[in-house]
Formats: sequence, structure tokens, C-alpha cells
Amino acid sequence: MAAKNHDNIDVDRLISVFSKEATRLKITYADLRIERVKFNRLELREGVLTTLSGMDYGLAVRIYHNGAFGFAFSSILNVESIKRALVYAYSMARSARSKLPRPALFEPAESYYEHPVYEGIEDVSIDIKARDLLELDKLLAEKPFVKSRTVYYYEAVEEKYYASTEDRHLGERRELAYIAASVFGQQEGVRGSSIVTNGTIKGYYLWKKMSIEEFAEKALQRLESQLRAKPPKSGNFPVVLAPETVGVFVHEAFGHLAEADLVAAGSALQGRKEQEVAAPIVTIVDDPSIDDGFGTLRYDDEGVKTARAVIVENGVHKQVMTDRVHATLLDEEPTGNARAESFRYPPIVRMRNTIMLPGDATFEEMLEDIEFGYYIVSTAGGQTNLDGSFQVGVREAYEIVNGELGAPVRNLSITGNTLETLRNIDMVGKDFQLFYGRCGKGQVVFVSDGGPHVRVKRMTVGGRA
Amino acid sequence: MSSRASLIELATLATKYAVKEGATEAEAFGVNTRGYVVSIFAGQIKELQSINDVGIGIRVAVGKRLGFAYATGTNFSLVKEAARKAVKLAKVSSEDTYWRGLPAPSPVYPEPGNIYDSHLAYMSPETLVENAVALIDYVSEYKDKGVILSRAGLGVHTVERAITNTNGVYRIDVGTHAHVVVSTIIRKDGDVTPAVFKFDSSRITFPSIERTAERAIEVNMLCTRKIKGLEPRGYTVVYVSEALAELLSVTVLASLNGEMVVRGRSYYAGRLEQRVMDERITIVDDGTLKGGDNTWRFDGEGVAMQRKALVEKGVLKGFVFDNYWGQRAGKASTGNAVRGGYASTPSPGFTNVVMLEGDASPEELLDGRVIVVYNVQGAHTANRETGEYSVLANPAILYENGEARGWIQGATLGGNLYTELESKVELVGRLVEKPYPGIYVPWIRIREIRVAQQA
Repeated sequence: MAAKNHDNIDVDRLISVFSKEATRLKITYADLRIERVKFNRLELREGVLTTLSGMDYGLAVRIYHNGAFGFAFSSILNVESIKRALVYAYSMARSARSKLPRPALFEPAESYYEHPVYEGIEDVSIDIKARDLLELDKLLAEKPFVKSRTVYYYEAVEEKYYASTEDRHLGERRELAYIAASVFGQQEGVRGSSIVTNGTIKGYYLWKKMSIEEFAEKALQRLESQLRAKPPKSGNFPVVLAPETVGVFVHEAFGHLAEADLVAAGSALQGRKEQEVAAPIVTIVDDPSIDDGFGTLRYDDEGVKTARAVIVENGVHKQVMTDRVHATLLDEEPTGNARAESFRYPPIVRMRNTIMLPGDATFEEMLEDIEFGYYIVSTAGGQTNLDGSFQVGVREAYEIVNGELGAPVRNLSITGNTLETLRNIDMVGKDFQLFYGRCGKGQVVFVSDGGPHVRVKRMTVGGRA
Repeated sequence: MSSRASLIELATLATKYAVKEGATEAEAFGVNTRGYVVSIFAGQIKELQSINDVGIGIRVAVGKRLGFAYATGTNFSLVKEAARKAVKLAKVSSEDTYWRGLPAPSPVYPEPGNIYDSHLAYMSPETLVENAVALIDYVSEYKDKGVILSRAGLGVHTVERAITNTNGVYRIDVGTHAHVVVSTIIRKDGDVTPAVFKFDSSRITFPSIERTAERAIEVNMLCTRKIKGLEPRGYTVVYVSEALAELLSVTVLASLNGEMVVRGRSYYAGRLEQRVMDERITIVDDGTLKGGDNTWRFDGEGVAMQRKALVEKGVLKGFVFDNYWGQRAGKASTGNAVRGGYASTPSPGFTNVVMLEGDASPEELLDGRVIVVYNVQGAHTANRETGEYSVLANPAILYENGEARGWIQGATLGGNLYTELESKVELVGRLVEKPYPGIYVPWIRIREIRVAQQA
């Protein structure tokens, strides 16, 4: 494998040392991850720019032996670290006395892939990036109702290498960028806030996806509508969810229930394979191959080829998302869903790009026969439970009155049961949008989610104080 | 050059290099953490981890423009690159007109004691696993009572810290730390008690796993009998140290943070020397506490750790500051610059927070009819500006004349910690416990807290 060598670090040599030493241990499985992540973070608070930069380099060794995993990491990339990590991981696995099932094993493989970029992150100077952010901030500051502004920009060049005792040697390089602008405003005693985000894995490409002017406009328009919004009525109403909300819903409220470790722990999807869990027009997948997603990856952090996980197909629950151990434990297909925040963590089951596939309805058709309901555009996060109950706070929403969009509403929340809500979907739009963010499950990873517009026959809507 | 350069050598190299690149001031903070962690899940060892995490964070000023960069490892070329990056970032940053420079060395540094033990530093992973197995075996003795070790973690760490800056700060420190976290539940006859977490730690010896497990199981046992139909109204409540620490952290400690004071978001801003709590309450932050979880010789900026009273006999005495926020408030740093490690910049935080003991015995605390709250869920939703909270007490146990009557399942509590500590304290316990790392508090008995039980 032709790993890129710089900073005096010879990745190929480290891998060959690992392979030689690990083979000698005569164990079921061992893997090595080497990571080089360079990142910059630029933050503007009320126009004042602060910066942070990191070179996060390290390696992790994991060994499965006698029913247990040993894991060792080091932030020092050299031969000595590899040898020591192997000894530690081995002695840890050996002494654990556990009975975990054997992880799924695979054939030898060799691959190195660089995700293509439009303009390399390291080819654009930090001054230009700062200038772009200041321009965005200036646009946000122009409106008198804006009282506080934060612009957050993060960019990273990630290089990850993987080797295992199965003779798998893999490498992948991505350039990731993320932008979030949040504005807080006050007008005639009403307070409100809005956040707009975007992301890419195509280098310094954000402003080509959506221009600085468009981005600012979106944040301001959202805030402006919040400031003239009225409180909602409480009760059960038909609801149209915009793609951003559908994304949050399929990831937060539904996706976690289909992670193999949580299925094993008793999530609401446990024992529901081949059963109808959603309306027949609903298909939800976790797809690692879509263009420009935060979860778009060739291989996962256990060196497993990523595959599309079809969680729900035409309303029927088909697949769960797995890592090596849970594929064996639950007798499921390996989907390549094992991800780790960094070399400091062992991989666990995580989502990648979780989306609802488009249907055939138009937005107008969805509104048409609604006498009174709500159009929910974006959320402020929520909380879900393994039993399938959820609560989501809403940031931007509008009334739907006699088939038409009406006044904005604020301080709204939606609650319910995930599977019941999926069964109540009666229209799926033909449009599609993808969103970018981070998900925490003890470790934080970059994910995407999204979908089309969706109509739900009824949802419980409440006001928040 | 050798990769065996010490942390302080690397830090020195980093600051020198930053100055060469154009920094007017530079500071390098290095941390080297080694250790082992065992995690237990559902009564079984799930994973063993070995930790070797070293890196250097470099903070520079170019005039009043600031930049920060870090590098992992001990590779000279990476440290240099981080220094160069920090300077480059400072040059594109905005001017911070409040910046008054990095701190100078403190005249005296403390010798707190009991922060390093060579046995802990050289404890083998096998020994840690033996402790984990002993914990599993200990809890399995309670199998017939339905006790399950749902989660546990044991860890031992050795931490080396080094800091240097262009104002002459040049310090190194090394310490050890061992901890145990145990969470147990009782599942019997279709009923499940809440998961109870107990923590213990030490800088110089491995904490007792039996005692930690026992404390968790004791609380579980209190939940095997249930109380139903509790009338919603004001009750006398005893907050056990876990519950008090959770609520204090979100409200009182947030308001004692100097940054919050300067930004006008502290409840206690402008109330120095006024009585803000019951006169039996004294709260100190003590970075020199012998054997304390967060005891070191210097803070995240190289300023000497200190002991300072924040609240003395109910009177507000001070706030915690790092160098920057101290200067903004017109005060000196209190040695409270806290960093998450080499990868983060310093900000004001707490070292070891101690609420001093009162004089009430356990019998006095539990006298009469009281609800004892062993932990709370949702403390993070408390309002730090106003002190208002609405949390799930889990578990809450009803006591009558010192006798536990049963678990009040689904008890919600509503109150305001600021006003309760000011005027509703009945008793402060005479035993101080450490429910979480670096926070030491007694039990406290407060009257008229609204309690309701979910149907």
C-alpha cells in the first residue's frame, strides 16, 4: 500500500512491524489503526475571531483473544509504540476471562483511496478562510434585530490506515469541512435564535455548495420568522416535516434503535425483523456511498467494506447496522458500521449517512387537504429512549391553514413513539436534501442524514415554556 | 534528535520556536498520560484499554492577537509545526483588547503531598484485572438477592505535566490516580430498581472495590419496597452527597466561576461580602488539598495552586479566576486555570471543591419524616441564572424516624438551590463524602421542597 509519508513518519514500515509481530502472537484477530488528522477551528463571536489548530496523530492496536478484546493506543507514532501497544493489548485480552463471540473475519484485501476534492484544504491559506468567515459575519450583523452571532468553522484532513492479521491493508483520506452560523435576536420583547449548518468532504468547497450570501440569508430569514412567530396550539395535528427534520428523525428517533449493540440491549426493534414497522411507502437506509456525505467511507474502522444497510424497505424492517462482533452475535450481515472518534477509542456501532428515500408526492399535494396542521422545518435537538419514545424541540415551524402555509410558530415540541409515527406517514415527497452534523454516543463522529418532505397523519404537538 | 526528550524540553523548544516565528509571548503545556482502564458490562469484562497519550499545546500572542495549536506525540518536527501554526493563526485572529499577557511565575509553589505513588505508577494491567475480577466476584455473592453489576470501570493513571512560558514560568509535576466506578441494579420478580452509581478514587492507593460496591448495593436494597401515592406538596428533603454535588455543579459552581461573573451571568455577581447562604455553609476551592483528585503544584497556566474560601459561614468571599478572566475582573488569578489536557486552552474552573462539614449526625439528618434523595436525573437542565431546577429524584427513599420505608418511584423535585441554601437549610451533615472526582460535600437537610410522584 502506498501510504503518504511525511512528518518523518513511515506508515508502511509501522504496518509491516505490526504484521510481523502480531502474526507471532498466534491470536484469532488483531488490528492496527494509524491516524493522522490535521484540523483548524475558526470561531467568530460577535465578530471577534479566535483560532485553534491540532495535529492529532496516533495509533491503536486491538486484539481479540480467548473471548475478550484488549485495546491499546498511543499518541506517539513509532515502532516502539506499536510493539508496546501489541504487548499491552495482548496481555489485556489474555487476562480478561470473558466470553464475547468471535468477531466476523474476512479475506485479505488491499486498498488505498483518496476521496476527490475540488480545492484542497491545505491549498487555501487560512487568511482566505478567515476573510470568508468575516464576510459572512458582516452580513449577519447587518440586521438590527440580530443581538448576538457565532460563526463556527472546522476543517480537517483525515488520513486513516488499517491493517489486520487477516492481511487486510487499507487506507483512506478525506478532507472535511463544516460550517455553522447561529444568530440570536430580539424584537419587541420576543426572543429567538436560528442555526444554519453545512458540510462537505470535498475540501474547501462549502461556499460553492451554498454561497456566503445565501447562507447568511437563510440564517437571517429563519431568525426573522421566529421573531414574529406566535405560540402553537397543543394537541394532535397533521404535520408536514421538511427534509432537515426528517433527517433528525431518521437518525435520532429511529436510527439508534437499529444499531446492533442497542438492538442487543433491547431496543424497540429487537425481534422485529421482517415485520412491518413503518408505512409501506417508507424506506430508510444507512448509505456509506452517497455523494459528499459526512458518513461516506469505503471501509469502516474495523477494516470492513462498508455496505448499504437497508433498515426499512417498503415499511418492513430488514437489516440492522453491525460491527464485527455484533454481526456474529446477532447472525447479521456485516455492514461496516464500526466507527471510532479517534485512535483514542475502540470502534463501536455508529451511523454513517442515514436517509429516508424519496417517494412521489409534491410539497403542494402534502399541504392540499390539511385544514389545520404544522409545517416543521428545523429542530433544536431532542431526546429518545430505547423504548422508542421521543421528544424533539422545534426551532422553525409554520402553521398550515386550509392547504396553505400560514404564520410562523415558536416554542413548539413534538413527542411520540417512533414506530407509531413511521406507521402514520401517508405521503413521501419526491425531493431530497442531505444535512451534516456530529453524533455523540460516548464518542463523537461526523454523520449525515436527510430525506424528502414527509407528511404524518397526526403527531402530538406541545408548547415549551 | 532523540524522541526521549522530556516534556519540559519539548515545551521549551516549542516556546522558543514560536518566538522565532514572530510570537511576542508563548506558552507550552505538555501532558503525558499513561495508564489502564478496565470496563465491565453486565457482570463481564468487556474491554481492557492501555493508554499512552502525550502531546503539547502551544498558546501564543502576537501583540494582542492569540493563537493556539497542539501536536500529539513527542516528535520535534511536529512540535515545531504546531508552534508555527499557532503563530500563523494568531496573525489572522482578531485583536483581543482585554489581553494583558501570560502570567509570571508565582513566588511560592505548594508541596501538597499524597499525589504520587510509585506502586500505582507501576501497577500492572494484570493487577487491575484481578481487582476487576474481585469486583465481579464480590457482587455475584448477592446474586440470590437479584443484584446485577450492570456497569463498572476501574482505572489507574500516571500523569506528567509540564509548562513553560516566555515570562519565566518553568514547572513540571507528576501524579498518580486510581478510580473505581460501580453501578448496580436489582432485578427481582419482574421489578427493576434504578441503577445506582458509586465512585471512589485515590492518588496513592487503589480504592476499596468491596466498599464501593457495598455502598451501591445498600442503596439498591432500599428500593426493593415501593411507596405509592405520595401526596404532592412540600417535604423535608435530605440531599445525599451525589444529589447535592450534581445540583451544586450546575448552579452554585457556575455562578462562582469568574468568567460568568465578568460576563454578567452569575447569580452572585456584585454580592461579595454579603450573606448568600446559610451561615453553616462554607465552600472552599482547594488546589492544594492533600491527596485531592485535582491537586497539583500549579494550574493550567503555571500559577501556584491555592486554597481559597468562596463562601465562608454563608458570606460570599470570592470567585475562581484564571489569569485572563482575573485581569478582566481587575483581580489576580486564583490558580484556577483548568485545561482538558494538552489539546485545549485554559479557562476558569474548579480544582477540589469542598463544602465543609456541619454538625448533624446521620440520626439527626434522618429524624422525623423525610425524603432522602440519593441521586437526581436531569440536573443539567437546572437554570444557572436563577437556580431553579426540576429533576427526577432517582432513587428517593421515604424515611420515618430513621427507618427506611421504601422507594418513591418517579419522584420529581422542584426548587431553587440558591434560595434553599440561603434560607431553607435545616441541617448540614458532619460527614463529608466525595461522590464525584474533585467534589467533597456532606449530606444536607432542606425544608419545603416540592415533591410529586408520577402516576
